Amino acid sequence: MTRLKSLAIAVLLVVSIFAVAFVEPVVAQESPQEKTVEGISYLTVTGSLFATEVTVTGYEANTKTLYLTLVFYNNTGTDVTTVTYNVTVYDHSTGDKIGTKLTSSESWSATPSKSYHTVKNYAVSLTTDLPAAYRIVVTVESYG
Amino acid sequence: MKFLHILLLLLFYCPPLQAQTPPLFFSDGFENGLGGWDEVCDGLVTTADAHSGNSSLRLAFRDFSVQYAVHRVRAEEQPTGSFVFEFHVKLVRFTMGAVTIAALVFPTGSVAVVVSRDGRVGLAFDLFEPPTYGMLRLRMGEWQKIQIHMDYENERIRLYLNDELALEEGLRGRRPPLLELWLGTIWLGGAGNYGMMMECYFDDVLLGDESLVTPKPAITAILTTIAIPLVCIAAAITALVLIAKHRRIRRSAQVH
Repeated sequence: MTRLKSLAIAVLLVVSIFAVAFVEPVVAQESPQEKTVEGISYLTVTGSLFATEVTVTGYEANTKTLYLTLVFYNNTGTDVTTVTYNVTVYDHSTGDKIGTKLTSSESWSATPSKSYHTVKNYAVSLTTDLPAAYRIVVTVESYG
Repeated sequence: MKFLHILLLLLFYCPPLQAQTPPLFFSDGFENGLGGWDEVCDGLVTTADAHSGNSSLRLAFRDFSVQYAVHRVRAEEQPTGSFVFEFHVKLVRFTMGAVTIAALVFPTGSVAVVVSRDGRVGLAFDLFEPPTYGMLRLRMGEWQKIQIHMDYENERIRLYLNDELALEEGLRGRRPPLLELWLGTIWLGGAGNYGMMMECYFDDVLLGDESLVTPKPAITAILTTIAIPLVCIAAAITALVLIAKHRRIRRSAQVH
């Protein structure tokens, strides 16, 4: 019994050293993309179908591309299958338009029973680097 | 006596070794301004701090959300095979959970060097793909040497921090031509929760061949070569001592 015990101690020691010596690189936990990067955004609601949430999910400096997650809310009380919307980015300090993108007839699943529609990582190309302060305007042009 | 003197001199005479400089495709120590860089955002040359010489590049938040300097690699600067991108960095402050401090841009995508909030260095391949961090930590507010070794022979990317291997990854299709060298933030937000550079210094940027890498033995290699055999021997001795003790007790019990 004692012999077994001592053997177990020796094996345990060797195993613990192997466990310490061969440590695998740590893979980072996926961060929630809801966290925005720095900037200023305003939300002005007009009409009964609008973007209720505009979140910056990322920015790529080498391609000058801004990624947004847009959540639309349908308060029309009718079924909506397609929507045309326009996203424009402005430099907040100069007021200059630095990027715009029109998306037309995107198929939409929002119905009165399911009022929200989410567009993830919507890419907008900018003409300049992302300023310290910027304004994002989402305009719903039409829906049907 | 004089003859012995000459003989000894001849025996121990070694010609002075010529310092071997590795072939460099691009180098900049920011001693002559920012002429070597095609685009600079929220960056300037400063004499307030330097790793060598008098000046360095300072990237700090001012007018933009990103802070970087980019060099577009010319045809005559293209590495012919495996290569090393080396720079010295002094990271002082950044926002959010991590920051991209440098990157290599290829036609198929980028390889970015990232630093987490707790200082671990790692590599990232896409804005919306979680980065991979190694175990080595970058000391904040101190000059540190970073190297990215693109090893096309073994199809590996190795990240070194102060000549110590921090991380090794597969090539992920990042093959020449090398388009751009980036210092500073290439991404914001994304899966890594990357932030802005509030204060960071860069110096002694080199793009050269593999002879730039002179790695120290990694801690795991030291453990494997020294610690494991030592502990195995210690375990064996302990086991033998315990067995001998057990036998002695049994023998004394038989005598009584």
